[in-house]
Amino acid sequence: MAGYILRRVLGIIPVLLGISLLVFTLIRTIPGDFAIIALGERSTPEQRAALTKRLKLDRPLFLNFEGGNVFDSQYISFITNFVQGDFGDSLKNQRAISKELGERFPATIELSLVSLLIAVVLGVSAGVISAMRRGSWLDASTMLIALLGVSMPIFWLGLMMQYLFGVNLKWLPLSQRLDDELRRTFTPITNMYVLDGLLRGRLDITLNALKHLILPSVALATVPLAIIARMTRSAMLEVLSQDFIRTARAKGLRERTTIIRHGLRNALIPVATVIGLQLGFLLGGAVLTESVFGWPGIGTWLLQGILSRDYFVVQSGVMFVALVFVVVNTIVDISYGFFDPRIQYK
Amino acid sequence: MATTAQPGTDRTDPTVGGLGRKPRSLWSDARRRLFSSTVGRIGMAICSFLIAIAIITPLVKPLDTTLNRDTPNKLRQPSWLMSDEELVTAGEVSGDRTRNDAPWTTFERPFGTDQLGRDLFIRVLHGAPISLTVGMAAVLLSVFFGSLLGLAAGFIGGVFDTVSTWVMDIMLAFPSILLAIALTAISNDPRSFSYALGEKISNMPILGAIFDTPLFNAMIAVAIVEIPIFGRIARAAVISLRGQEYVTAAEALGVKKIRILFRHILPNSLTPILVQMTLSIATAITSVAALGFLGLGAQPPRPEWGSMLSTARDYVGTGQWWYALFPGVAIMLTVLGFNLLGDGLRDALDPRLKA
Amino acid sequence: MSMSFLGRRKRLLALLLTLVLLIPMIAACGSGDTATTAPSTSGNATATTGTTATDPTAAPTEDASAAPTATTAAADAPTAAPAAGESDKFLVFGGSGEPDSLDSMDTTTGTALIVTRQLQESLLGFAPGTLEVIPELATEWTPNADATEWTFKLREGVTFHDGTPFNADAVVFNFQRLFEPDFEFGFRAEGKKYSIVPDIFGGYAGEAESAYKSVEAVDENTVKFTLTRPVPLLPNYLAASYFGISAPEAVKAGKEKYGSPEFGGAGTGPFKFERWDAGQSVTLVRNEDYWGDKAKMPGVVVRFISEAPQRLAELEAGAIDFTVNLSADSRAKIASSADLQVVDLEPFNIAYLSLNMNNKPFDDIRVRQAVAYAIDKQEILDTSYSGVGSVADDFLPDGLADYRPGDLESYAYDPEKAKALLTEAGYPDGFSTMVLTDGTELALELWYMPVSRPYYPDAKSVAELYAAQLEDVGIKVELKTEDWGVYLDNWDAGAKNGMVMLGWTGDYGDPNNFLYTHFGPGNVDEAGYSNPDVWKLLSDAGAATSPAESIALFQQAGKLINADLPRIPIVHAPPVLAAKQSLTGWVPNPTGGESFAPISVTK
Repeated sequence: MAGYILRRVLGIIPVLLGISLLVFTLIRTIPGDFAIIALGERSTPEQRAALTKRLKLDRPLFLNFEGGNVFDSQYISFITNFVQGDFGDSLKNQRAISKELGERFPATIELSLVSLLIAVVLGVSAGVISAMRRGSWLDASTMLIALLGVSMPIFWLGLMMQYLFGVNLKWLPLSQRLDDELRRTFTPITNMYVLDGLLRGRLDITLNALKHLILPSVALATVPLAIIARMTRSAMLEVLSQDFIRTARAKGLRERTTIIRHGLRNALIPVATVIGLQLGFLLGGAVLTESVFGWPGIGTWLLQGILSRDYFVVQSGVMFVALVFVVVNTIVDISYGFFDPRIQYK
Repeated sequence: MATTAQPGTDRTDPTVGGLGRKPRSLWSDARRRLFSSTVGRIGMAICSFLIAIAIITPLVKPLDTTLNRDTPNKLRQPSWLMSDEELVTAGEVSGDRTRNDAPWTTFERPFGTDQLGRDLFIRVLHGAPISLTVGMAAVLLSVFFGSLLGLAAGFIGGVFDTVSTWVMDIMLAFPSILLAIALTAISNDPRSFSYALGEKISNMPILGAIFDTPLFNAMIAVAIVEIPIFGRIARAAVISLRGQEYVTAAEALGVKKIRILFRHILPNSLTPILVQMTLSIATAITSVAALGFLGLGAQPPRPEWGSMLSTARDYVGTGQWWYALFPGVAIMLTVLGFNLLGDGLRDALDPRLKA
Repeated sequence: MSMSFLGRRKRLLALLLTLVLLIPMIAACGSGDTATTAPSTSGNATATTGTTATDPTAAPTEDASAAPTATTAAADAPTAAPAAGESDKFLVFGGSGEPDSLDSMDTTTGTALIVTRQLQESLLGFAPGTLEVIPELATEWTPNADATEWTFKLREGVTFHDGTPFNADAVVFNFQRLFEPDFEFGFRAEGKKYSIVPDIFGGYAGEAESAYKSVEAVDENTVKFTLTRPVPLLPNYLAASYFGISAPEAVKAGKEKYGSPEFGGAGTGPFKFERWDAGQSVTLVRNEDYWGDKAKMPGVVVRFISEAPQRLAELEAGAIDFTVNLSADSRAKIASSADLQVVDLEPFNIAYLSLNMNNKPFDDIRVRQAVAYAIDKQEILDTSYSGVGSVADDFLPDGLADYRPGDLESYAYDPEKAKALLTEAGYPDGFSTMVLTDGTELALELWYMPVSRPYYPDAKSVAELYAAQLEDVGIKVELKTEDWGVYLDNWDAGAKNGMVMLGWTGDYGDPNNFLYTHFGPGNVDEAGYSNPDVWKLLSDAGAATSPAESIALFQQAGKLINADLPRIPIVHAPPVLAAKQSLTGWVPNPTGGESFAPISVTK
């Protein structure tokens, strides 16, 4: 088991190396001089030369065969700096990327986690209920809604929810993570405001943050919720048709006990796989959701970075997201073993 | 319908070759299953309906994307919600002089009008050929390159397999929309190769009506992002089939490897690829629309649903809900159609169910 | 083992369910939530009531004695009760985007300058709501006979936000940093650009076209500017927000990061920088040591909301107190709301369509004229500006109408004439491509801005209208856009081909701020227009010492520009500004930069 985990963890390394190569190469293939991007088209050649020298952009890209240290190249520096947590500065506003990442990443994580929570809890419940009432109107309508949910363009859903609950009914805030007045008087710890509110003993912060989270997280949760609901239903149906359920029923167990303890428990195994897969969707979908709701997370930041050609932001930001993505996927993979004793680690 | 291994026939009809009678029964069986399943039927109905719209709309009412405007009637709500006086006023102020100030009918503008007074109904209909073509073209590209890569990897094996699997893993390690955004942004630089190609395409007679350069680039980006999905499926199919007796037999008989690949292995990996294709069209349509929504895809005045939504977004706050509603419903309906069709196909072709 | 996992999972499930149940409860108590937080705010707020009571809705200038007492009362609150936090509400401004820098000298974007105006004051300022130059950090200014030397007497007893004194050395430091490429603390190699200098002064120190020679401290409180040529309007220039004075120590400490989100900006203004939440907002707090009338509110939050509809929605929802650059369509909606007001401002801007004369066929005057005749400016005004504003025949806004030539060709909408001109130029069926200087033929591009600016609040819709109107005469365009910063950068570098939508809001009352900026030598790079006669006339007009002479020269230049038609003036549009009904004291300036200090709002 320990050996398996070790092998999986080590297996991350080539993938990450590949990602870093891909990101780095992609960005270097973009036409245009970094110094011009940073200093503007009106900068003088001397200014550009100075910046190129300061950022060491005059070195070879991958390996240095021009004498001296072979590893004295832009790519190697990128990797070594990245590993040490030095992500460089934005080309556009000179801000330290690690600092901005520290503010924005928690915002995305908070949004994704709340969405996942909504998707799992509602999705599993809907799936179980549908399976139990198979063939009823409740089942049919739940599955119809789930079908629509799977096909939902989330940016549009977000827009419509904004109109309905924000503009029209004025129930929920349109954007931001906290009301201005509250954010001003509050120093975050982790930058996940729901958590920080609890840590600082400020329930008003937590509640306000949750209120701001409702619209974006529901929009983001829609597709995974629908997928999980459908998966749960079919997994439940499969499990409920098996012999041990019949045995349980024959034993005279209460229906609820049978379904929850024997049915759901076994059905959750394939569902867990799907949930793991949805994490990736959440991180990707966050780009769109954040853009609709002006959520100051990593998605809007990377989008802005790509559009404004702030390539250091894109380079380090994308690398970081991919890192998180790969690590999370590996953890999910490994953790199946805890859910499903049938999985054998070799 | 030659089923024996005659040279010449395989190229014209690869799906039928190689396996004697069995594939035919599989396919007819599958068709029967597909037609009998509710999901499949609804999916097919929606898709056929949309394809019909996509073909008929440009023929019946060709869209002159720029001339069609009626600025005095900008941002009118759907005409069936308008009062009689409003219908009369709309007719009077209309810039369309051929109408002689006749009042609007109840279904004059069933989806309302946009910020230039254009008929949203017509524009949404004209979005269908764009989104369908773009979605299908993207998927065809990724199927072609993906399965080629996957087949080669599985068949050649060795270092090539390791490297290509590695590359595919890497691509799958990115959230796909993020990768698509980055690729679109890069290819939208006029100095890129893809840009020049897109510009050529957008000047062609029929394709030019569908693609503008950024939309073409968005389509390519979405296609690239989907390549590893098909690569994996094809590779898995090759590997699972390599050990099969009929392949071993063919090898023993001295059939050329490349021939085995295209005659025996490719047809048998078609099932999962076909299912995935249908589902991928749905994904591709949403992705291209998402890129359009972010301003990276089709540019106005092209009536692409995503870029219409991107403009419509500006009017959500001022209360013109219909502008954003209908293009969004169109996207959802299309995606739903292909998802249902994909589900239906999977049920129909799934060997486990058949067993 | 599996049992224990089951138990853990059950507990987890229970926790999840509880949390999910909480969510609708929070949603349901949406209004209740604000109600519950409200008592805690008013509980410790004797200061709050203090401000509201003395809060004058009357003219802000006349309550010199009332205002300070009110502000000092409120001032003690944040320090007295920092733990409780909310002593008084901050003003919330809906800015139309994230600033690129809070170093006033290193930015040219309106979204940044509206913030730097609060932090870094210029030597001179504008009287509220007008272009009249008044003292700010300088109290007196005198030119020599031919306006090549200017002496500024500085305000005494002023300190920067970092506590260091404001004096002649600080002023010299700032202008050296701005003008002199080899100045030690310019941090140019690290990314500082100071790109406004060539536009206004013709170039940096040492460059041929530069008006700048030197700046020196005469004594502790006197500064002398020496120029290479007469600049009679120097005070007007220096009143612009670009020339805000920063604290030298802060600049030295911040290096290239001065002005960035980590560092913010420090000057002498009525507000101090507190924090910059990336992608969200900048928070400023009242400067308690301000030399003038202290700010009415304890602070300002400047939100970054780039979409105009979003700003409107946030204003309606009450999340922001005042905002700018709304779409013309929102006028009616605001006017009909009992809680909101439209704040009027005379247009001091121009929206135009630039034609790149480096591209064929725009090198042909007949084609440029055809484009001008093909555009129905009135339809654009009616559709995208709700009919408010005026069709522009000339670049100069009404505020500078005296300088306009009398008999302009207005190029009134006339598609037939446009077609005739195109036929004459050899394009009887119109055209759909352009040829660059290197011979490549590309689809004809029309660039629209990705942001809402006062002159083009809804650029995308206007672009679609242009496309439609041009199509009527056979000119087919492809609409294009890109990130705003990149857009401007490419524009400056002359990398924008075809037609380009842009506009300008005046920085100070000077025709050259509109004309030299657009038709001076800078245009050669941007769009290929080069007419030395125009340059000469504009320079002479700028250096003319008598108003009559200046007017005559500007009119001559205007006439030439009107005939050459490198850029087509479209409309002068009043920006749509809006605020809560309860907000008072906001006097927007035509230049788009005004102090927020006199603004107050009852919350």
